Amino acid sequence: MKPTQQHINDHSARIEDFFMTRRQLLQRAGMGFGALSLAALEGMNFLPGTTAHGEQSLSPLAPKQPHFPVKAQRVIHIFAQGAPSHVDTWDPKPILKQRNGQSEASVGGSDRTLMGSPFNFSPKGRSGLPVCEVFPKIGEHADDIAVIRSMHTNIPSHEVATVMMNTGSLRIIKPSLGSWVVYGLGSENQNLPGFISLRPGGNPPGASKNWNSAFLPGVYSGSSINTSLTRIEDMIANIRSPYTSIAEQRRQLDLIHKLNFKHSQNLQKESKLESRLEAYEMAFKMQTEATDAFDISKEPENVRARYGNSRQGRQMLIARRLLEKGVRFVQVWAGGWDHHNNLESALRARAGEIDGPAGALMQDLKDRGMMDSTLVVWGGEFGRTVHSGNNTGTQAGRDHSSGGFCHWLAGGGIKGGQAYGATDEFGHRAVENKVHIHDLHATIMALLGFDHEKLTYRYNGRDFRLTDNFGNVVKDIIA
Amino acid sequence: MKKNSFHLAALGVALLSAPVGASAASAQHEAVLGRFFEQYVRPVLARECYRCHSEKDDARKGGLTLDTKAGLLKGGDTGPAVVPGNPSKSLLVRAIQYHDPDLQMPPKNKKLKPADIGMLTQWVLRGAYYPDGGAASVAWTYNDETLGHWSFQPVKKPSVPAVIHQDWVKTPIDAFIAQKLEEKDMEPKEMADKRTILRRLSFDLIGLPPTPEEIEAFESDTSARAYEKVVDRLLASKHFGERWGRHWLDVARYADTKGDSNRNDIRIYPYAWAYRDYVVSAFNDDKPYDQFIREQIAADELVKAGKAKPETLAAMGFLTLGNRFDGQTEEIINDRIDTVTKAFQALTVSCSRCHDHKFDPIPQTDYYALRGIFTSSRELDYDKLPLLADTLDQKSAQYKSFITEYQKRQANLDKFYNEEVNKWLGKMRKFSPGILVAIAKYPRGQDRGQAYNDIRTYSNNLKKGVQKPKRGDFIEGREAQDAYNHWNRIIREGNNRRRVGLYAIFRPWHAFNGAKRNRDSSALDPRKAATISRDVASRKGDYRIVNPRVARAFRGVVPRSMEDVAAIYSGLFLKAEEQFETTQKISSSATRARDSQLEALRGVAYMAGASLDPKVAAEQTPFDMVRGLLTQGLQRREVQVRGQIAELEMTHPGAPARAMVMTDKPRDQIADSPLFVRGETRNRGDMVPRQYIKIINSKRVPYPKTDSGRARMAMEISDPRNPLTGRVMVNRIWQHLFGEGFVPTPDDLGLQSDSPSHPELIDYLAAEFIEKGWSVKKTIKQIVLSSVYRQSSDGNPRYAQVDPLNRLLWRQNIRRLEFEPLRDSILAIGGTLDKTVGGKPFNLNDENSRRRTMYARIDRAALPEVFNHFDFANPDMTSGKRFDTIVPQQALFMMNSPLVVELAKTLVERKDFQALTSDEERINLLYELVFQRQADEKDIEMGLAFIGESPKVTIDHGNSGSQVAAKPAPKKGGRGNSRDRQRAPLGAWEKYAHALLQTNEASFIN
Repeated sequence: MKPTQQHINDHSARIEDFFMTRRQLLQRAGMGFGALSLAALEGMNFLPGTTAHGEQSLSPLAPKQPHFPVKAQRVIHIFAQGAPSHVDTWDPKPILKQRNGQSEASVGGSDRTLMGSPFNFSPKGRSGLPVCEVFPKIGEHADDIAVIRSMHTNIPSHEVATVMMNTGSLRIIKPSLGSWVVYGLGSENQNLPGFISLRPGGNPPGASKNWNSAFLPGVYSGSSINTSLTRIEDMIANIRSPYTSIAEQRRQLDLIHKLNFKHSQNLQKESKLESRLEAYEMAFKMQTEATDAFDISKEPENVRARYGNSRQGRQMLIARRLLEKGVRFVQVWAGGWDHHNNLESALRARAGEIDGPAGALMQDLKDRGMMDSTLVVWGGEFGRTVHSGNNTGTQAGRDHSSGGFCHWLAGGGIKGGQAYGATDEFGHRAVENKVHIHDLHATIMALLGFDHEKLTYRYNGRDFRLTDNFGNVVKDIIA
Repeated sequence: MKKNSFHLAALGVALLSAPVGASAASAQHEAVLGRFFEQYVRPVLARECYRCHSEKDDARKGGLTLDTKAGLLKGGDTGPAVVPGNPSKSLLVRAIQYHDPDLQMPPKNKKLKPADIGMLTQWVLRGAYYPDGGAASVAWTYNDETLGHWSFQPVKKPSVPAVIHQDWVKTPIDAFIAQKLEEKDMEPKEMADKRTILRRLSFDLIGLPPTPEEIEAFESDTSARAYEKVVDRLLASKHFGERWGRHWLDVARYADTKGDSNRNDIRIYPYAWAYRDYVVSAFNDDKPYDQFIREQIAADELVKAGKAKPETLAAMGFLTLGNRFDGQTEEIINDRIDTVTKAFQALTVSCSRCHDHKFDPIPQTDYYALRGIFTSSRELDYDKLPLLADTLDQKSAQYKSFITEYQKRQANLDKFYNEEVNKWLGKMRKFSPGILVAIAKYPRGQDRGQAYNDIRTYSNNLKKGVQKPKRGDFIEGREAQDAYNHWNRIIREGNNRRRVGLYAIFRPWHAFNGAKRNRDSSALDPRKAATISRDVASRKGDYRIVNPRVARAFRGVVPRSMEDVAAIYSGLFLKAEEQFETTQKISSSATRARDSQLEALRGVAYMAGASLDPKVAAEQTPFDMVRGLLTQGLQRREVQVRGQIAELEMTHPGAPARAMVMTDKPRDQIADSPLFVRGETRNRGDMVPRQYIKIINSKRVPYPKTDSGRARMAMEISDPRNPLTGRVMVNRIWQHLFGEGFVPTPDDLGLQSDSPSHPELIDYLAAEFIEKGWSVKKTIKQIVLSSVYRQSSDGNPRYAQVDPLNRLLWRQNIRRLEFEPLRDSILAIGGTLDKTVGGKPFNLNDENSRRRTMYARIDRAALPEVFNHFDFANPDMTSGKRFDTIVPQQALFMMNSPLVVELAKTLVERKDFQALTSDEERINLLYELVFQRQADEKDIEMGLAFIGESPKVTIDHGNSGSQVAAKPAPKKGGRGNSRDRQRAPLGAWEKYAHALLQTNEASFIN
């Protein structure tokens, strides 16, 4: 392998490898302009997505090979923003129930009152993984799920922690996990963005910082889509022409290609011109492809029923359609877990919103043979106190805590049916096999086939990576 | 051991054999030790040890941490980990050697590799050098080698080389270029044709295509100076500053909003555009670059010294217009340090915030030397910012209309303060019996919920006694918590002696609180309570400062519990409120209670919220004082009402602008900054004198104690001897004329950057730039007159093999137009471009706007999506070079966006187009307009075919393929977003014009 080729494949990134003049890429790939333009003009089917035929693709979104064998080909990250209480979801602490109402001081904590979980947990599946009563549908997949009970983060403040979970950065604005993944792997479908972030309404705390590509090129930025909108043209800007029919657009496009061909003949080799031609073809196809991807009315009635006709149900079904169409990284915002008050009723309601859709998703992925290659991740940005904060009685809730919380992972490459790591007896903070957010990120990258220390990007004279100077892969949850 | 020594030597660190442990180790030697540590020791410690032994990660197994020098020497439960110079006495060495079965690290049979053991042993033997992160340390990258980096050397003007291709050489620049080409046996390229050159030059200098008349004039001018005349015309164009100003705004991370603004802050910069216009004028006026630098950093000092006009103050937006990072001061300062050092010096000094720079000779102290300069400077509140006289026309009708609207919105704000805020404060006084008692009754934190319930119950009981209770008159739901916090904070502040007025009121409260039987109960010790009551009532001793009304209330009363105390207090507050209401009934304009002692009781909220710093307090509005005591809803509402005023100032055509200045703090607040170890504000190291970076100011001349030092810093940056300033700017200029600079990373010319493609040429240009008075226009002229600029962009397969990146410039680069010239050119060729220079920002999504794109409002928090798709510069950080991606979203925008299609229609709506009678002529005119060239036979043929095949549109005019009459524009306005509505289908010519605009030829400069 030539050294330059090596650079393309192993991501020892040099800025010019990815953006710029595709001319260099063309030359490195040993491909001339002529062959390309003929292909483009005849049948218009030279698209970077069609690399199955062995052509070297040139789009920054073209699928790429990672460092190791791939366990998961795509990711769906269900983000339970608001910081779900770990002891009420995936980290049962019977002792809290026994000591309910006692002062935390008796166990060496503050003088707040300990609060037992109002919910019951029972073992599910062959593995007997304890599942909270609020997650009956997700519980059906207990044997696929690895719960990490020893997550911890730095700052228990929503916005900072939410952005931290998505970017691994507290201060500097850095690329989000999805951006890194698409930068590393490209995307399978060139007619859709590689990283799509679905939200059921307004912006979450931190807004676009959660899906931006920061110093990575804009093509790796997540496309944030408000799924509470119903019309595709409201969701994706300029996805349809309000003026021209598809047939007439095709005719326009053919003229543009002919004019471009004539133009490039005078200029001889220039690949930038060529990529623009491809981009037009891609855009043309995207108009129908994207419209189709977001149209859940194309799903059979029984499938739609399984997901439920709710905001999260519809959103999750869109997510599955996107995954199926080859979108690399789908983020689903399913927040509202900030239960300072009224935890019992509010958490139950919140869990009820996501339980059915998430359960349906996993079932659907299994039915379609996609579960083994799709990594499903659920979790929030930090955990909650084991005491009841400032509210008691029926209004009781829990305050913020960064010392311990839960995430679960399922599907592609995950050794299911286990709980990994542990918080202390009461659930204050992670003590055993602690997993920091950087470790979670490193693990997700490993499942996708990356050495998180080697997927870097040179910016500001420094090689940046998702996990900064940290990150240990949690090998025990990998199958 | 011998074997290990061998390793060391083999790895080329034999230098280490210099004496170690000597306290006077030279910086050079320390640098070597540091490098050894960073290269061979720290990675092993980090990989193998920190997981269990790190202060940072709170991992202290066996009480041992290894990530600081102190931790290493202090050691763990079993003693010091390391005895410098003595490996056999160092537990760490023994542990890693695995000789002792009871002391083996890393544990579980994960013995280190022999090479690593050798390195660590050597390291201990040679003194265990460990950079302590303190102020005294010298960056291990600060040494002769790094300081020898080319861009840190003085600029020396090289002599112009003699070359073979003398005929090609038009300017000295060409000689440098030809020399490099000749070295590789390459021929310089011939000139591009006149039209191509004119189009290139026009876009490069003013961001707009040449008009058909301009092309005609240039083509027919056969004089020797024809080209130079065009260059002069374009350099003199008022649009030059727009094009080059925008380049600078990329560097200055310009935006019109704050991005992450503090919740108590409005989210826009209503006057940011004044800075933008300053930049445009600076380039138009060819302001000397050194002056441009000084004004942007220290215009305040220049104006004070009479060296600049007051309008120049707008320049300081350069410092003040960054992201606000939720109001986090350290992030704001970091942004400023980052921007200044990248923009002018192409150095990444902000990398040294947490540690010495990893590659460049920039010690951590550099960052904190600059930090002191910024912490000694301050910004002004909006209403105190200096008005820019040149933006104010008091006689204009627009100004009058602005003032009318402004006063209306100001009245809204006053009304908000007077009604909503006062209502809340009054409500808090009215309900004080319930709230104060609840606070007194539940001293334990965990019972807060009960306290809230009690407050709600109290309010409900009052409500029952009211015939028709009004919404908002009572305390319900979450408001109980706000009410609790309101009074709790006032009471707490009342325990502070420095708050004299408040202390006079709450001194007894806290005295009784100290007489509680125990912490968790509200019951008082009767004997203590009796003594306090007596002493308070007689204002004896300590209590002589007590408010007489409060003192009198305790006469003959001995409270048994804090609830009793609370009841007495709330009685006073109610009485004060009642008296005020009575006074108001007598005189409706009354603003205070008659009795000044009672009035003091009414004012406790203001007393509690006023700043303790008298200078700050003097500038506080009443609202500033009570802000923290309001509900979040009211705080948000205030920002909203205030934001409406700011929005008016930003958008109303008659609104004047203010200069977003920075000034020095008062003399007594000028101070150096401590170093923050690892960048942590709580982890303070030594003080670092204010200074400029050590690479430039190596003599460490101290800065004056009387001002912030910003002006001095500006002088050091703009000093002709500064090796970076000139090189950085000519590199930027070159990049904008060729697509790529000599150094491809314009914001980083440090050790990590590629070496320049033409080292002598960049120095030649930098030297000329400085010699000729830092004139940007002269530099540009010099470059565009060269053969290398004017050469053709045609390819050459052989050269492409030799130099695929075209670093040697064997041809001109083909460049995609950025978004601004792309949109502007469509406006220009449609003949509808609004050529107004400067002014307030417009909304890019307004498809009726015809202003140049650079005047679009740039909202950091919600950048127009099309900006993202077209690689617009990131407004959160210096972006001297835009990405150059080609993605389908760009195509979707061109294909479907009404912003483009509506403009495409204007081509066909042009009068000259409408007047034409043959299709050939029409095609020709469109070619002239869109491509600035004639259509050839093939072009005509394709055009005719497209028009001929167009389906008949029966809706209106389009019954013939060659029909050209434009339809009336669809009605604008109405509800909702007009962009999404279905539009009337395009006619054949409109579709044709739209297609031409989407071609590569229209989108690229070649």
